[in-house]
Amino acid sequence: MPVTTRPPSGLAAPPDGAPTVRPAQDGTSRPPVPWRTRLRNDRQMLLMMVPGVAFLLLFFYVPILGNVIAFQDYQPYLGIRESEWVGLDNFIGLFDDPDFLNAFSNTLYLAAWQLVFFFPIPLLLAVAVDSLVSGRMRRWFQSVVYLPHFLSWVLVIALFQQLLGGAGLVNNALRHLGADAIPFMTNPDTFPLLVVAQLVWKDAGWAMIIFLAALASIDTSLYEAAAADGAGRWRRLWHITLPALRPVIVLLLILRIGDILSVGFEQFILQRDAVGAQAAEVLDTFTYYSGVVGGGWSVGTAAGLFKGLIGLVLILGANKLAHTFGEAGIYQKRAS
Amino acid sequence: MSSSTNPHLSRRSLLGAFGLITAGVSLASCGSGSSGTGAAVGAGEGAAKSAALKLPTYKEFAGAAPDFPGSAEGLQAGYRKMPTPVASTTAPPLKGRVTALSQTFDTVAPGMKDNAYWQRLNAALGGELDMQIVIDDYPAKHATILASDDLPDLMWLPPNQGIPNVAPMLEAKFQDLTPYLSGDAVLEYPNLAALKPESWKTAIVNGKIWGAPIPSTPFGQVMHGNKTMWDQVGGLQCSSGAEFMEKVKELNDPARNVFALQPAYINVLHMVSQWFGVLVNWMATSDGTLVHRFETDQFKAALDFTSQLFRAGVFYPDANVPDISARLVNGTVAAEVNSGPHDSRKYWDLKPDAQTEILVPFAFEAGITPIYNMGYGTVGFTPFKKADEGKIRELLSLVNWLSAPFGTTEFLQKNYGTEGEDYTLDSEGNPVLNKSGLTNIPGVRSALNIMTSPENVLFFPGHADDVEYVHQQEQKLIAMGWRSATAGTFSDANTKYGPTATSAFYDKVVDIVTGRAKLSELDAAVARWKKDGGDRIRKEYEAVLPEDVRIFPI
Repeated sequence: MPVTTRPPSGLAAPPDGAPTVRPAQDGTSRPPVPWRTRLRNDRQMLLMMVPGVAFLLLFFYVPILGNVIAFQDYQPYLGIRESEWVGLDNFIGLFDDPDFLNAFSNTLYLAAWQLVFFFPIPLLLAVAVDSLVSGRMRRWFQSVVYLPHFLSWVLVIALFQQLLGGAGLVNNALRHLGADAIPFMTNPDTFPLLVVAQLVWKDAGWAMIIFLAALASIDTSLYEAAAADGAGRWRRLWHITLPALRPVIVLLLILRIGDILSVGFEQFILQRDAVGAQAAEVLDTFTYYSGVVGGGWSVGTAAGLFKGLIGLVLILGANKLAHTFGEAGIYQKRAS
Repeated sequence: MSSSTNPHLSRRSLLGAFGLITAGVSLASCGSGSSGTGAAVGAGEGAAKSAALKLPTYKEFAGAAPDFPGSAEGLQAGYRKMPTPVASTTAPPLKGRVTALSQTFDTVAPGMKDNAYWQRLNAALGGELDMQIVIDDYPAKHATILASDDLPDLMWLPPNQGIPNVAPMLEAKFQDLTPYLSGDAVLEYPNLAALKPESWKTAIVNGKIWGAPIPSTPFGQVMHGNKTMWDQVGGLQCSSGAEFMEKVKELNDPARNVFALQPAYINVLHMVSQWFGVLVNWMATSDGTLVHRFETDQFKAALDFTSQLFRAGVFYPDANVPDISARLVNGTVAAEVNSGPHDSRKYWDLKPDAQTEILVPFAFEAGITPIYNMGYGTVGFTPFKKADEGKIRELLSLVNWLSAPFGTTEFLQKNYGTEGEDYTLDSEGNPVLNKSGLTNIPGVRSALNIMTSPENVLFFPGHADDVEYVHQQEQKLIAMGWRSATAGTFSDANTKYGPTATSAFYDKVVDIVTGRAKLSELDAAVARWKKDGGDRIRKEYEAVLPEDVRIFPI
């Protein structure tokens, strides 16, 4: 996506902070602006960044250092400095552990389900919302579909249990009609379906917002011209809407792929007892149970680090792929 | 937890405090067994030293005589009403501020600054007892505080929430209290001397005493039933597995949303194994070896029966039910497994005239001798951060004050506060918390009682007849009661590998009960449990098996 930045020059910023436009690159070198002047000119911007940067440093970058315990036999009462170094033992141990392998394969399996069945739905929703003519109707629909995002997983799952659980509304109705209850919530084979259904209900409306923003940026004259040339609804969707959304779709897809092993935590830990660890253990719950609860801090960290590495590889790979297909991806090498 | 004496302890007390799993949720982790090799003390070495230690001298508290006497075997003394309290200490124990980490199993109370009961308690203590009270997931909090190296003076150590590597942790960070408490030295702290030798065993690791034990009920899990419901099918007591199956099927009525059993499969399986006559964990055989319940044919048969119960649809159909006790009281769930007989009282909080029954184990079929599993007996101990002698003596005086037995003024102050301010006396002279007491006390009291407690008694204010009923059922249970062969001994491997190995095993067991796995998969799960720690734990326990261990007929 094109990003507008402030000019790296000594041009005085407008006092009201209105966006400035990048000056044309003329290729000639300007005299370098002294460091102190730049600092003075940008001080408001820099000040505004401080909390964000501090937050990132404190809660994202500093804790990364803690990952060294993946290479130790870490004991909380000994601390990082005195715990014994064991090299790659924890990682080797992971791959001998059937529970880890089970969690890993569950994660991949559930991620595939989420990618195939969840990812397209916000797009479809956005297109549907965008096609609503009445502004009031649109706003109402938007609010209705994105409000569930603000409910916690505990509530979402409680709601599903009230509806679909063994003693829930649907099954009670079935029993009254003399039919057998259907184990929606406790059948491990249909668990991926349940998980995706919960995810769609909770988050599809929220994920739709980015697509809606992209849709709003499409020049309406394109639609008018196409309509004047006799293009129907579907042709306009196919030839104008989707191509316009393509960079956003690719961007979100890459981000999703990089994050693919984070299928969720609360959603699974809350339903682990209902369908069993065999179906519901994912990498994040594994890390929690073996690391924090079971005292295997090092093993849990190793699992987390492994997950992070896979994510990094995937995100770089997907970005590379995007470049190959001529998309912007999430970052670009600066053209030299 | 001064459980039996405390009428307001919430039902959540089960969840954290007692070993087996009370909510149908496996205790902990799924993980790989091993977390490394760094234990400071060699396997079993510590246990051998523990057997050689001189326990603190036992000197019973001479208070008011109970209406229903207790016994050395563990029967709890019962009181129909509160005796006139006497003082058990002469001076306030504290000189300054003391910090502590504990957990509450009751509604969270206002903090110290806004809590008049807590402030009055501090005044009685002569200083400030500043507790950090954890609400949930104590082991995680414990581990993070340990990692921060900024320890409080007192840090409750539960025996069964799966806190790993207890022995090296104690040696590295906590004070060895042996010189202060071993033998007659304990007599300086009379309320600690009134704790039974059986209780003290819990606080001994590597042959050293690390804190005062926290006695709880010596009883293990029991099944409570809604009396009105079970009366319709001839009562909760049964004489065979077939009869039990028949009764639960009759009680079950899904069309009306009525189910016979709470969905705590592991707990129900524990009840069923008692009907098959096996202990919950280690049993000593005549040739000096140990056998675990998981390895027995009886366990397999009990598991098979439990999965038959599941197939019959008599368990509540959702795995997560937060309000099972309320459902038992309102008649939509017929039976629930609780941490001990004293839990009869928890239903009165939900319905003052709730009537429940306690199931006494029966022979599943002719030829079997049913048994009852006695419990762990304590909820662990509270070690002290390393400090100079003056500070240690101050902390010991504090714990002595807080461990004052039922019938003392200290006990009354700790559990009910101050008369007129926090409680009033009813017509029978029993303390009843008033509105401010109900707000301020339960959350703090629960945290105090989980880290310090006297030996327990049965006392249910306003339900004197139930004291008698529970006392009677306890006598029946004790008559068929067994303790684990390893009770009172210690295994390093057990603290290290036990929790993860067991919880992975229970995951599979729940799969089998619910039909997600076949019964034939049990053997592989047992083999894995042995490999993940079971065999090492067995070896360590066998090495320190007491001479006089009671041989289990298996």
